[in-house]
Amino acid sequence: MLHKQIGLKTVRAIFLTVSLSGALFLSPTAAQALDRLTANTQYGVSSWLSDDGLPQNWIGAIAQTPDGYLWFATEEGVSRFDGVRFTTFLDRKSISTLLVTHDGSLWISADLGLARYKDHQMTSYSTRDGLREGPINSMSEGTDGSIWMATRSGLNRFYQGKFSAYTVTDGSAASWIWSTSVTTDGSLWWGTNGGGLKHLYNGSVTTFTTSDGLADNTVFAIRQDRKGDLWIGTNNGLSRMHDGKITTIPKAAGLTNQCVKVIQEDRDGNLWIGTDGGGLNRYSGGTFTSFGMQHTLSNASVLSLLEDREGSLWVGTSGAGVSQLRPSKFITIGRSEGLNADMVWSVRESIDGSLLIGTNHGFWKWKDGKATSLTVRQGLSSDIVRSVMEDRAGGVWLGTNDGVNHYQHGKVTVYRTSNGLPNNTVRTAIEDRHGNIWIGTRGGGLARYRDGVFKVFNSTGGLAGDLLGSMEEDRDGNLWIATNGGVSVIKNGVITNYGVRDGLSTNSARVIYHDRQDGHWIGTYGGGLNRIKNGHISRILVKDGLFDEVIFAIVEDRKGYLWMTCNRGVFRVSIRELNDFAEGRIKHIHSTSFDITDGMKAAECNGGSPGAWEGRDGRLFFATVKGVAIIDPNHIALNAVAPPVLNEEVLLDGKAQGVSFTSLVVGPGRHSLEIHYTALSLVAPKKVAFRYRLRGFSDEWIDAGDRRVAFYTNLPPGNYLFEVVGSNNDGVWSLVRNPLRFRFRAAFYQTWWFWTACVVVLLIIIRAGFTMRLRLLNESEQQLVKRVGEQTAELQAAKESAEHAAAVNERLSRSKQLILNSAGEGIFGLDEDGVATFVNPSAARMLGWPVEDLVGKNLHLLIHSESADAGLSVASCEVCSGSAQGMGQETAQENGLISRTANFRRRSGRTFPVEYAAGAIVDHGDKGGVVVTFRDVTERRAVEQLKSEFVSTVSHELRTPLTSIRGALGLLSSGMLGPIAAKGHRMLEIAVTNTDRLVRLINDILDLERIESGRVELTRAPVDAQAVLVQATEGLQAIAEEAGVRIVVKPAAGTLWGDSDRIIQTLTNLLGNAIKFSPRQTTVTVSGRAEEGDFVFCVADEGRGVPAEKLQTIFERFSQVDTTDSRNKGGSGLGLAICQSIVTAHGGRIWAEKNDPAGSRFQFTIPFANEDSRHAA
Amino acid sequence: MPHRQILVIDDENDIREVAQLSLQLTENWTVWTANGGAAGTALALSAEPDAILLDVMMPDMDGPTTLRLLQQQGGTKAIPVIFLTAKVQAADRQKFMQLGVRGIISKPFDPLTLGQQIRELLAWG
Repeated sequence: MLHKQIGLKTVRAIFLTVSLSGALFLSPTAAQALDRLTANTQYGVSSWLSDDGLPQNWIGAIAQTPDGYLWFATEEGVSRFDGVRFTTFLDRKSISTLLVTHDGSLWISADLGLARYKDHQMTSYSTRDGLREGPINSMSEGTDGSIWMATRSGLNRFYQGKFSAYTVTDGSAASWIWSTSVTTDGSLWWGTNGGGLKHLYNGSVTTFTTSDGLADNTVFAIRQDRKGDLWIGTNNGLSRMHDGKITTIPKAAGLTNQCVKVIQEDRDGNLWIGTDGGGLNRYSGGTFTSFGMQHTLSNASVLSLLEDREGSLWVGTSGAGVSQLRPSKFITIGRSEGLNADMVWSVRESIDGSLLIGTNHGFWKWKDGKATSLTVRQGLSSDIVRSVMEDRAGGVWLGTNDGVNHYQHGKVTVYRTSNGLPNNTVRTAIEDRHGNIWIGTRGGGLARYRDGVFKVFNSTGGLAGDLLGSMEEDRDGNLWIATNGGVSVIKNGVITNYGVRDGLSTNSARVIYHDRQDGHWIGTYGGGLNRIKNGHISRILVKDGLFDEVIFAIVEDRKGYLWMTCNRGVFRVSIRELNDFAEGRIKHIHSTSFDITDGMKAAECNGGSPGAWEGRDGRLFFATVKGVAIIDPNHIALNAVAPPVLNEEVLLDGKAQGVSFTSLVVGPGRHSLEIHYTALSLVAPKKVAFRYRLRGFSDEWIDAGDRRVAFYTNLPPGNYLFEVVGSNNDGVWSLVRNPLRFRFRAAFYQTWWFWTACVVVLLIIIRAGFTMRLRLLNESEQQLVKRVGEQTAELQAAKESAEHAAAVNERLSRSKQLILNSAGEGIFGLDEDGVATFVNPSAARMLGWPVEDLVGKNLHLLIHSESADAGLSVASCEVCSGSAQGMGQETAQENGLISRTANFRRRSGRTFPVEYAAGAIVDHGDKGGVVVTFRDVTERRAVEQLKSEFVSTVSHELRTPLTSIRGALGLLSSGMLGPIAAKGHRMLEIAVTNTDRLVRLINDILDLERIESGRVELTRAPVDAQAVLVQATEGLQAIAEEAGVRIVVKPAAGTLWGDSDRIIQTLTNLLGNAIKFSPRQTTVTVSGRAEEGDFVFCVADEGRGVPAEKLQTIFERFSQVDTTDSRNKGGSGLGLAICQSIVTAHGGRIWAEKNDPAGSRFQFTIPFANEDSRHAA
Repeated sequence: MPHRQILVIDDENDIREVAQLSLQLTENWTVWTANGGAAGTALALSAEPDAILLDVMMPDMDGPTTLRLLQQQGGTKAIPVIFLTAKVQAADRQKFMQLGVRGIISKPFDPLTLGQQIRELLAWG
């Protein structure tokens, strides 16, 4: 009772047909398969060896995991392949077999044990886990999850985490087992080493040996086909079991080698048999087909076979690496098919259905799979046949480099120049509707052959060029000729030419094609495609979507496409698109190209005549450097399998992170992110294209082409989703699978609240810095003012002493001299004529003369030379007469002394600015000349200039970044950029408010600086006091109402002398302050009155008032009653300083005092326009 | 309201960005930007904006020079120009207006009312 001994109940479970073929993933798509009608040689074949990235050339097993990867078992590890890259696992371990189980696990049997790989995790099992020693030859899986393993020491089973062994004693007649298989009825089969085939079903083991008809008792391969028959590959032949009976395929059937190592059925029902030394055989329709003598696959030892889910057959060999047989869109007639030539120049279909082919090795006729040739041996003038033409009488005209050959009824007639041909290099020939034969040459133009006579047409006769590419007759009987000088059209004997001047992209016309809608297409050498329609030329170039700009041949299929050939393959474009483009309806066309990956034996096409041909059955023929490539455009096998796209690795700052995370959380800081992905379309991996996007960063898909990595740097904090999709060689796109999630955490300095705080801090720093600078300026200015004050006092003292000196000149000459000599200021005395009566050393030094040279000289002429004053008489010279009339350059007037500025001239001729005081010397009522004291103010002017420029520059430079800050804050706080939490909003408000304040501050500083530096000149005019009061008040009415403060304007009358805008500015400032510091329900009173010859404006409030000790200092810059004021009330701290400047510039004064009963009173004076207005007030 | 296109010419990248964003958000206008007078005049020719916001102080070519170029170019002379300036003195404003600009917007500007200011200056509905 064998069945009991081997554990009947568990074995009874139904087994899946699972083996290393990966049969789970087969989804038949008839269009994309290894068609049994196609010769083996027509499959596209690619091979990989260790040089191409395989770890080793012995491929014991091939598997495909559900994610789409291919896996190759080698003696140096298991190699994962995505169509482009090999990644090796279990490096340097010998891998005997592979199995993919229903849960997607890859089981790998290595020389030292068993490993399971799933979800990037590898689990290994060894003899310690109960695994039998020695290599595993084969593995199969049952639906109960058990894995059956064929070893040299019997059958092993892995079930529910435990290994158990089945040997001879358990009913397994031989302990050395080569193969296992599970059939659709759930039974287990295994092949032994000399003990025949064993079958376990319903608990019984049945053995089949040679006595049952088996070819041999050593069984390497067991495979059930779709009809239910079991194919058994043995050491000496192939057997088939049908309805329990075994027959062996006779050796005469053609199997190239009787040692069958592996069997695989494809989706079309072809049986592929890998043999030991006989390569790969295909069995279909009762016969075997091999790969012919020259093919790698004809003599290799085939160890493993797999049909992948796209229909490619993968063939693993012993020592010859791995090969892929691809379904091909093209079939080729080339050397393997009997054409004894590679280079095909021209191809056309004959009237009798045969193919007429011009090659580098003669002319060939291909019919019913057989090729016959015509070469120089049979009388052909040359073996290089560039053009092939068949006339209506059945004669064939062959263009060569040595004339044209006419071939009919086995007879060749050669026409050369001696017969009237213009040139022996013949490139093209056609027969027109009247039976004329036209021969196009390269160099001699065109010749028409009629009634035994050649008539020549060339450039001298009006043809566009003498080097002809091709000719074509259109439906109206016009002959179109492509030449090196453009296109010529012969219509009723008249030649019309089209060239670059007419809009052709280039004059190098190569080929003409007339489509079914009367479009004339010109293929050029380097100028793309041109369309001539109704005399209008349109150009289509690579930039417009054309695949190539060199076009050898054009042909039209029956689905509305133009097919063109070039050096990089064949491509097609929809004629409708081309027409739409030519007529301006679309901006871009689409080319679909075909090359080796589509099954062409070579991509490079040839430009003979014709270089492409449409057969009567609709198939298209192309002349290539490796035979005639044939495609059926109506039945192009498309790869409909969208490629699975996988993330392979994520590198964060160069460190691998794997891809199995649910969300990769990335810490704060700057990071680079690199994502490697792949798409597993194995038919033409180079034509796989990718698109990806990082959601959260951008929703736009990025076209990555065939690039398999995405880079990101400096990603801001946030949540991201990386999605990538891929398309296969036929443009079928995958859906997004397994997007990667990332979370970039914000550093504290990347959060909005930190940023806002930064802005606030920045503003404070800017303000502090500015305040400091301003204070520095202020201090230096105060020092200057102080010095000027001191010097003025000194001037005054000097003047007094000078007056005194004049009065007692004679008596006190010595002491006078002492005083004069010790004065720092320049002092000189002049008589009525301007002649110096005395000059002190300081004056002489400043003027650049020795004292003695000046005394007695006319100083008036000397110091004013070349200035306007020099032309004046001494009496009318302000300096030299001591008179002080007019409004001139008066800068200060204190204690009766008039201090003025002027320019004096040095001995060197250069002038310098001075401040001077001039006083008449009055002796007993008689005027006795003048004394002038002066000082050089060059340095002070320079400092003032510098300060003014500095303030102006700084203000502008500050305003520029402020514009950005203000703008950014404004947009943020508006909420338009996204919602902001309440507290954040408040912070942003603060930032906005303070930015605005900073702007006001800068404006005020500029204003103040300009007024004080005198760069803003007051435009004085008579001003109506009442009018300015009303105007200032109106401007602030709205603010007052908002503040709940009432403004009362008391009538005032008077015409003042001043700048009305500036007076209004002053009033506005004072009023604004008053409103700001007034509690609600109080009144601000504005009034004006005449007082002590001036007009006094008064702004009084009922607010908290200015403390007595601050009444004086309040007009200083940045002076505030309360230091918190500037923040709370939003002032710049410069308003009153500006007021003071304006008032002072008007010659008035401004002061503050306590108001009764509460608040403050700010008053300032402005002079009246004249006496009348003073009285009117 | 017709869809408007504005060209902002300013050498400050940040200011361009802020102006662009604010006009896009508040007015939904198409905003072109250029970082200088040369680029601006070229862009104005191809983009044909409805108005140009032109910075006055720029290193390569200042606002008045750019304005002159725009006024000389056949394709751009009809485009109204508004100066964007940090110079706020009345004298400067008067000088600028005499050059033929349609208005002056001072920096810093309020991003929320920038579009409104432009509309008011150009009397756009």
